[in-house]
Amino acid sequence: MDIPTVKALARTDAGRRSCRRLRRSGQVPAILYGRGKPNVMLSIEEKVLEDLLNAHALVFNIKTEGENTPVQLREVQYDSLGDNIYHADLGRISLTEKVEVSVSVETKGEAAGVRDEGGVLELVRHEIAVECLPGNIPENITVDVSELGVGDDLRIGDLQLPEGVDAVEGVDSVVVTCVPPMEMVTEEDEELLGEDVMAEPELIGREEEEEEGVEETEAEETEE
Amino acid sequence: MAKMPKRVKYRKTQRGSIKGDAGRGNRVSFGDYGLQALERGWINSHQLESGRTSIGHFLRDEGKLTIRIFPHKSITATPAETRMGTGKGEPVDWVAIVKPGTIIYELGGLPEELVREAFARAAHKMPVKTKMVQRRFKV
Repeated sequence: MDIPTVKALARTDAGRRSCRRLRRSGQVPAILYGRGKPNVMLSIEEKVLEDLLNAHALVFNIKTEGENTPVQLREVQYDSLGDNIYHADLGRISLTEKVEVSVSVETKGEAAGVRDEGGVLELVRHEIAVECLPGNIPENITVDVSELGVGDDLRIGDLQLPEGVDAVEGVDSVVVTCVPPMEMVTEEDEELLGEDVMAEPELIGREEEEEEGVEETEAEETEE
Repeated sequence: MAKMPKRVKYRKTQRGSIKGDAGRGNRVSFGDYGLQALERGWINSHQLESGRTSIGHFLRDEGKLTIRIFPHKSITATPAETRMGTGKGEPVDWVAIVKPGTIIYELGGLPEELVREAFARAAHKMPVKTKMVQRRFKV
């Protein structure tokens, strides 16, 4: 995968008000750190950052004042509705050292459980963490699910990773599974839905208190 | 069947106030698409169940539905024609508190058009405004 280059501007103003001004103008405040060099405050165009995220390009070059720095997108913060990017963390990397990045998982083919048994293919891990050189990051990891029946699963150990790419997590983590279909809504459910009478939940601690109370009264009676 | 807790420490709760936006439970975590609340409010167990049923009716046995909220809070009411000063009423329902951003339902394993239609049906049952959101790539 080619490493894209992104333009960024160095910023001097820190704090809430200046960051809000930046966001209003379509920029995202970001911070560049790592590899023993001082932290640099940056601003990146929001649309560019969104395009990078949509392309799952987490490693790119940052061009500031004519200087190219290879970086990895370490964290992205969103607002509470998840509509806008609030802030981005960029970590300096070396192109000759391995990096740990998350790569999206894509399924290939129709699972036998879905085709023949009416099951549902559930992608448990939409992304998996891999370790590789920045130039060797795969766009995605394709999983062939055509032989997956209901109740079967594929784990990280079963994946065919490209050469030079290693999985970070344990081989036993489930990536994709085929589950039975969700329960149909029955007539009984609908009848219960119409009922207004609700049973009350059990009270924590109440049972013990009642038992203790009974024991005490029994003891008093025997004393008498 | 309408959801409610199995065990609680206290039968009745105070109303409380709902402040701020959702800081957790506001990302699509299990499925591919989610129904996100845009307002603050209470979703009672019947509304939640009604939404689930409408999605189930539309999709039949396709896809995988996840309900992300649970009605933990009890709501009390006094019977009609009760004189003042008889104390707090008895629990009548259970509600889940939602804030702007809270994901209510998630669906996975289905095409977008089908999910949009299913969520539109569930949104009609909700007492808050909602919108459909898509899963984001996790960095």
